[in-house]
Amino acid sequence: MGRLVWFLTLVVAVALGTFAFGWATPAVLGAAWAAVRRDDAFVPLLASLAGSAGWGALIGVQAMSGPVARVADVVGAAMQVGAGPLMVLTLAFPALLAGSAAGLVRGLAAK
Amino acid sequence: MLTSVVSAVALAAALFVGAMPVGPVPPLGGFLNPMTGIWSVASTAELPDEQTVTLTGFSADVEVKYDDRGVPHIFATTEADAARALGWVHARDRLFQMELIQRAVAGTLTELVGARALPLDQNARRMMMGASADAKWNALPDTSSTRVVVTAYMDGLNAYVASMRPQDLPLEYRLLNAKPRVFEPKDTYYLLMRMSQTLSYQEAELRFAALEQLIGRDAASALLPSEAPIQEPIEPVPGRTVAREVPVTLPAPMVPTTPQVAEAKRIRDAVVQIARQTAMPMNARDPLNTDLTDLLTRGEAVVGSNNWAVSPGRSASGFALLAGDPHLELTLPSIWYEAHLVVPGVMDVYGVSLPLSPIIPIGFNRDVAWTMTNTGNDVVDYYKEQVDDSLSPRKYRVDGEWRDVTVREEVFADAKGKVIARDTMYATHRGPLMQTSLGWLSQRWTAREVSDEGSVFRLGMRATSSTDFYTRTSEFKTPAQNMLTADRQGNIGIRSTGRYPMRPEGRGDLVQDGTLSAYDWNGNQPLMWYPQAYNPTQGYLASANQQPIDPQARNQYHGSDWPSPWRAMRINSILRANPKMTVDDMRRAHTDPRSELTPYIMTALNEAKAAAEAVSTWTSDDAAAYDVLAQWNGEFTPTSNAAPLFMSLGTEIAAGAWDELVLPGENRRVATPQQMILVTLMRDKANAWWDVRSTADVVENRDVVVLEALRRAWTATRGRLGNEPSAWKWSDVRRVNVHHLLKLPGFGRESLVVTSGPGTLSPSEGAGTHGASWRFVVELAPEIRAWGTYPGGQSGNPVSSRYADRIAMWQAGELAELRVPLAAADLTPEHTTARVLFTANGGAR
Repeated sequence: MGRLVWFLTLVVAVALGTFAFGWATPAVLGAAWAAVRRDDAFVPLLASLAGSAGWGALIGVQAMSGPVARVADVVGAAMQVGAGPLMVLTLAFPALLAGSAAGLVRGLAAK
Repeated sequence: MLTSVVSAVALAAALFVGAMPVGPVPPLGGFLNPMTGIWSVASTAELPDEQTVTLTGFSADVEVKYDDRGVPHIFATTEADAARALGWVHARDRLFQMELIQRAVAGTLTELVGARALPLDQNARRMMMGASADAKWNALPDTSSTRVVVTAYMDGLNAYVASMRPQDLPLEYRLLNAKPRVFEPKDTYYLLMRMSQTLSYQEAELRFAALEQLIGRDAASALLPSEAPIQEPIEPVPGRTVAREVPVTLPAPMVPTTPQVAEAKRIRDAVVQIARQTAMPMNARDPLNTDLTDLLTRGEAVVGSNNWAVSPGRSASGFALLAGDPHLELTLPSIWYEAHLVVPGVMDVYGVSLPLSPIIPIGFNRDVAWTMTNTGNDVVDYYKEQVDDSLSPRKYRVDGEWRDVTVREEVFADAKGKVIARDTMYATHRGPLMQTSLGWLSQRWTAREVSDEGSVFRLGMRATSSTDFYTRTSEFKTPAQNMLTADRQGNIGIRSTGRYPMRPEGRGDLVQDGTLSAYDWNGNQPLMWYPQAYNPTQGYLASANQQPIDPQARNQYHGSDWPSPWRAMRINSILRANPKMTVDDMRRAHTDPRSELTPYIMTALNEAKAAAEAVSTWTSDDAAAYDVLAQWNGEFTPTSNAAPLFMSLGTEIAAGAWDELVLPGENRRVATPQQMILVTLMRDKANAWWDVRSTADVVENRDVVVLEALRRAWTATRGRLGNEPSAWKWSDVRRVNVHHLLKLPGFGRESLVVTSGPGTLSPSEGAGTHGASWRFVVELAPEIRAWGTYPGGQSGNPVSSRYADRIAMWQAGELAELRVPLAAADLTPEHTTARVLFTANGGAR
C-alpha cells in the first residue's frame, strides 16, 4: 500500500479506536504502525498527523450534532487559554501520543 | 538513541498528563477526548426531539412536553410521579447547580473543589446548616406524603445520574475532574436551609452595640430604629394616600471617650469575626459592607423583592392582577427553573421551581396566584455566654448552673477522601458558640428550629383561593415571607408569614445576657399578629421589604434597621395614579426608572443652592454641576447623564453626614444608616450631625455639607467619566453582572446594560450581581394568563441555546407569555420542542 493509503487507514483507525477504546488509542496505533512500517522514516510525522486528523474528524462529527465552536469559546475562556489554543491543544495531544509512540518504536527497532 | 529517548520522554509525558491531573488542569486524555470529553458536550446542548425513558417507581406513564421556551410541562397521574419526573428533568438541566447547593449547605465543597473552599465549609458546619436540615427531614413522620413526594423526586434525580452517558456529564464536573454524588431526599431541606440563610438572616445587635459606644444609645436607636421614619407599610392603613413621615429629630451624636472608642472598635472587630465565621457562598448579605465606596447603596436591600396586586375594580380587564419580582443574586444558571406540573384532580401548578426540590414556591394554579417578598424580620439573636474555659469551653453558665457545651469535631476531606483539616466547633442550647473579641457569643436563629416548609409549599400549590392559600400556609416558618395572592374570584391578600420569636424584652436588637434563661425566646407570635391584609378598600396591595406594619396602627416588634421604603412608595404611587391597571402597566412597572429617593435629595440641593447664592459662595462650577441635575428627568435610564452625578452626590452627602460613625484613624464606618435616616436628617438643617468633626473651628449645617458634597461629586464624576457631562452615561457606572455559580470566565454574562438605580423597582448595587431574578404578571381571568421571564435560561449547559436565551428579554423589561396547557394535547406541535415519555413498566416504545 502506498504511504497515503497507510496514512488514511491510520486516520480512520485513530478515529474508530478512540471512539471504541478511549483517548490512549493514538499511542497504541502509532506504535503499531511504526512496527509495521519500520523502514519509513516519516512514520513518526505521519503518525502525528494521523492522530490530529483522527481526532479532528471526530470533532467534525460532533460539530454535526452540536455547537462545537461554542464549546471551544466557553471552555477556552474558562481555562483562560482561548478557543484557538484549546483546539490546537486538542489536536496536538493525539499527535504527541501517536508521534512519540511511533518514534519510540522506530528508534528501538533501529537498534 | 537520542530520538528514542526524546520519544520515550514525550510519550511518557503525554500519557501522564493524559491520565493524571496537573495542578488545576484535569487529566487531558478524558478531558479532550472528542467522543466523551468536553467536545461531546456539544451533542447534548439541545434537547432530543423524542425520548422514552424507563424508570422504576412510576405508577403510570408520565408525559413531559417542553414548550418553545424550554419549559417542561409534566403530565402525571400522581404527585409523586410528577415529582419523580421533575427530579429527572432538573437533573438533566441543572445537575451541577444542585450539587453545588447541597455541598455549600452541607459544608463539603472541599470534596468538590479542594482546600480553597475550606473556610466556607467550616462556616456552613459552624452554622449547623446541614445538621438543621437533617433535623427537619428526620422530623417528618414516616407516613408523611411530603416524604413520599420528596423521595420520589430524588429517585428521579438519581435515576438520571445513573443513566448518564459520558457526553451527559456537565462541563463543570469535567473542569473539576469530578463526578456527581448520589443525592438524598433530605437534600431538599438543605436547599430550604440555604434559602433561609439567603433571605432570613438579618442581624443588627452588634452594629447597634458598636454605635451605642460611639454615639450614645439615643442616637444609635435613632440610626437603627425599630420604627422606620417613613411609613409605607405592607398592611395598608385605611384612608392613607401618602407615606407617613414620622416627625423625628435625630439626637446629637455623643462625643465618645477614649475607652468608648476602644470598646466600639472591639465590637466592630467582633462583627468582622462573626462575619468571617458565618459567611457562606451565595450569601448576598455582606456584613462587612461598611466601607466608603458606594455608600448610598448601603441601605438598599440587594436581596429584596417587589410584589403587588390589584383587585378587579382597579384593573382595566375587570380581573385581579398580580405581579412579582424576587431580587436575588443573579447567576448562571439561574436560581429558578420554570416548570408546569399537572396531576388531574390533584394539582395544576405553573411557576418557578428551585432545583433540588419538587416545589414551586412562586407561581399560580388555575385558581390563585402567589408570590413572595422577604420580610426582613429579626429572627437572629446573640447571647453573651459565660464559659468555663476561654480557649476551649466545655461548660456554659445558665441561671447559676453549668451546662455542657456541645462539642463537635468536624473533619474536612478533599475529593480523594484525604483529610485536609479538622475543626472543633461548639454550640449551646441556643445555637453555635463563637469566639469573638467580646468573648463567647452564641447565636439563635429561627431557621435552625424544626419546621416543614416542604409540606407547606406543597399545600399552598393546591390552594383554591386566596383565603385557602393562607390557611394552607399558616405553618410556614422560614424564611419569613410577605406572601401576596390574587384569585379568580377577584380577591387579593397579603400576609407576612413566618416564625416571629417573642422576646422577654420585647425587642431583639440587643446582645442578650446568656447567663439568664429569662432572656431566651418565650414563644412565637400568634398568627393574628402577623402583618396581613385582605381585600383592602384601596383595591391594591404592595410589598417591597419595607416595615410591614405602621407601629402607629399596631406596635409589635418585628425588627429594626428596616430598608428604605422607596420601592414600596413607588409601587403604591403607580397604583394610586392608575385606577385601571393593565397587564402591560404591571409589566412596565417592573423596570420603572424613577426612585422616590430622588426628590428628597434634589430638595436639599435646591435649598443649599439658595443658601450659597445668598452668601455669594455659589460658583460657576457649582452652577454647571447643578444644571446637569436640574435638567434631569429623574429617570435612571442607561443613557442618563445626570444619574452618575446624582449617585455621587448622594454618596458624598452620606459621607459628610455620617463622619461621626468612622472610627478615629480608620476609613470605615462601624455601621451606615439606611437612606431614609439620611433623608430624615436632611429635613433638619441645623442638626448636630451635619457638623463635620474634622473641622473643629467651624460648625457646618446641612446646606454647607450638601454644597461641599456637590463639589466633591462634580470633581469625582468628571474624574471618572470625563469633563463633558453630556457624554456621561449611567450605564458607564452601573451594569449588571450575571456570573456563573463558580464565576468561571466565559460562563457568565457580564456588563449588561439595564434600567436600574438606587430605590427604583429594579434596583442595583455596585457590583451589579443582584437584581430581579424572576419577573411575572398574572391575570386572574376565568382562564388564567401569565407572562414572565428571568435573566438566564432553562439549561445549565453553557453551550446550549437555552443557557442564557432570556437575558436580552429581561434586560429590555419584556415578558414572554407563558403557555399553560390543560393537557398534553393542548401544547401544539409548533409550540413543542421536545418530549419525554416516562414509562411505568419498562416497556420500550
